[in-house]
Amino acid sequence: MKRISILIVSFCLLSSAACAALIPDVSRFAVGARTIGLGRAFVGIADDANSIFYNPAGGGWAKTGSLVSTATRLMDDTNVLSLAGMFPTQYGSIGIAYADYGVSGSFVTYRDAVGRIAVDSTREGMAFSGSSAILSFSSLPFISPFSPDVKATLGFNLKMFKQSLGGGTIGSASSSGIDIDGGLLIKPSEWMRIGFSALNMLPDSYNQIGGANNWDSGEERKEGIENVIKAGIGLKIPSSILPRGMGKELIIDADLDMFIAKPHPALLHIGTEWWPSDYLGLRMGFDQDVASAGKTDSMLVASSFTYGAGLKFSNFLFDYAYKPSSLADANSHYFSISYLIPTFAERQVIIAMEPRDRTITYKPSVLLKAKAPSKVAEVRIGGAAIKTLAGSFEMAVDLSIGKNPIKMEGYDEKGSNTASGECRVLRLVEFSDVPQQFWASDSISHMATLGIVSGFPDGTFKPQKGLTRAEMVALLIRSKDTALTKPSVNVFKDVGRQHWASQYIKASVDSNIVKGYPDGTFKPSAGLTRAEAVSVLVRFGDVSDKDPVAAAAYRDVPANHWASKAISAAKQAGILSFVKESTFKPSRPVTRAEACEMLSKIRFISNRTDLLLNFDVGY
Amino acid sequence: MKIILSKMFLPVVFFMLIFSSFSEALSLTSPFLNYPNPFKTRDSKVGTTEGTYFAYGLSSPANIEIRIYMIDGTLVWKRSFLSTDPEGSAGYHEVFWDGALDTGASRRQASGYILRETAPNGILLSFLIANGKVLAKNKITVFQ
Repeated sequence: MKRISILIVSFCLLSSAACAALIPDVSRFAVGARTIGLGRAFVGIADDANSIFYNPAGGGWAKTGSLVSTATRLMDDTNVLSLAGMFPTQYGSIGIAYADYGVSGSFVTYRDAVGRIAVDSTREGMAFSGSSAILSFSSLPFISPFSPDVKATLGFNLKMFKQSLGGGTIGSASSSGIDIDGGLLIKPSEWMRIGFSALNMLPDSYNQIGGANNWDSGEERKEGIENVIKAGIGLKIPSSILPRGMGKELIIDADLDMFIAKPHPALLHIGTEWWPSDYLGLRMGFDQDVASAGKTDSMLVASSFTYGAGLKFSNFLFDYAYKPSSLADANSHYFSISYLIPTFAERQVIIAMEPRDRTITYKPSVLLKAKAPSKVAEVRIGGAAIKTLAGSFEMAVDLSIGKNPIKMEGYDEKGSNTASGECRVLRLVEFSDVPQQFWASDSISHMATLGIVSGFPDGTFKPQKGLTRAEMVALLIRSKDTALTKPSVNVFKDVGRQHWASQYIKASVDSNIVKGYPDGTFKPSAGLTRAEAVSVLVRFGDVSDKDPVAAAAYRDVPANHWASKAISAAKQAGILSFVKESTFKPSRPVTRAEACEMLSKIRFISNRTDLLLNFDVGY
Repeated sequence: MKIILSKMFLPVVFFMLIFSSFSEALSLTSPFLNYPNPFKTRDSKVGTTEGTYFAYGLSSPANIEIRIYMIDGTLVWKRSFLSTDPEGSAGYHEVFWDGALDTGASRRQASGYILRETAPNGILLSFLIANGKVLAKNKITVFQ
């Protein structure tokens, strides 16, 4: 990795070149509307065919192929068309892109009899056009040298470009050249990506191997292509992480462009894409570019906001972007149509037949039965390897409590990693005295899997057992993952420093969840009634009891009951949905099962449960 | 105070409209062109003609700006003149551009000569902006 980085930087330094003129790179302007709407911040995200233009390593992460075609008219004069395709294969992702641009209507001039400049109408107008074809390849994800848990992809582009200029007094002239891009995309977590790319790395002084645009007529001029190093960080936040009602996905990317061969300042690009539904995406970006400051060798950074939207129907995506110009008449509108190809990834997938992907189990291990493509000779899971028989294999896999991502990597006879698959298994905690038919079995199991409650050494939970004040406090503090500190003095008269729950009781007093009695005691071993438990939970869960329903919530909880407000509020918030009768029995001792059930309905704990049950997060 | 301002608002707008209808509209008395076109930039190794002259004629004095954009929309050269400058006065004017980019890199050669980055072969877009509005547009061709 270090060698590759040194090689890339060396190439870019060498690119500092002897050419006196640089041609614009299609990666600057012939890109998809989606990326323009993102303020051209795409190096970190790089999740569709546009990654060919920004970071060729993006293709390696693609599970499906994609095609993007884009049309725009820059400065109200230059027509630009581009087509980019990315196709995942068993060896890596292959990409192809083609961009074409042209402008015409420049006329030959002469000085008339009085020395003024006029158009020579006897000559035809001049036209300029250019095109670029890009072949791209990105590796499959490999374990990065930074950490065994972090995977990365490497990608390269080979660019071929042509330009032609004709008409007027020129006749016909054309140029051509080649260059290469390199990219690296690291995925440190499920929803974060860090990307680097170096565009146009070939030194333009090496005429024979490319890096320059060589004209075949006129002075046989050689022009360079601007080389730039990009670094970006992208976040793809799924709906399960977003607050409720905040849509399906939020993407944020921030890129920095750095120029080695030119005295340009670093340029910032920031983009955000929000999908409030499966069909509509909204984008906004912050884009920077250099611009003349009005004096020789004087430039400034020009910043602008970009805007865009995407509409998704089936496998088609229609994107629009608006990029304002410093000239009111020259704003640019980009239109793209994308097609997501669903079949490519499926061919090279190892499929878990039993248990199926997204399985929930209580068992400590599973016998994994899976089917791989026939060319796969060996499958590796964790540190273990197993030979396949016509692609099929079986392996016993131990499960830990919680989420178990079983990653299967398939290798052919030559040892190449040609297929991969994943089986996501959630193992929940089970207690011998809590059968699955038990009314609170789900909440007990979820709370135990999250580590909020625990059972007894004999494997039981004792759901009907009453809860003491100390146990309730411990439950609440554990559910918040609050940092515990050992008290230096007795917390209460009857809670010494050595009491098993002294840390929990101290934390709950510090958090204003519970209070002691006026006589300075806490009565940690006293049983808790249902009314007391609800009262504590309402305070703990920030459930509003300011505006409870006027009518009594239950027949046996009159309006003047000391806990009526809390019980009413809890009922309104759905915390007491397990109480089916018209009476609440507020003085009855609360059981461990009831406490679990009520706790599971508190907003932030139900969010934790949702995350636990979400197979798209944490695997 | 608010009442005074609101009472003054309509008469002020009315007089501004009357004044603007009588004031002379700025127009081009000579088209915005460049000569030679096509042209060679300063880094040219052969030929005697280097750079190009932008010509325009103004009917009345104006704050003038000439801007040159690459086809990708990058503003690479800009010069501004006030209406009190010779280039902003009424009449015919020419402004010279040697083809070097304000946004380019300058490199000192072994000979001591500073090589400045110039426009590449192709068509660039030039704009004549008067008092903040685009008055004319012209496409210029660089060909070495």
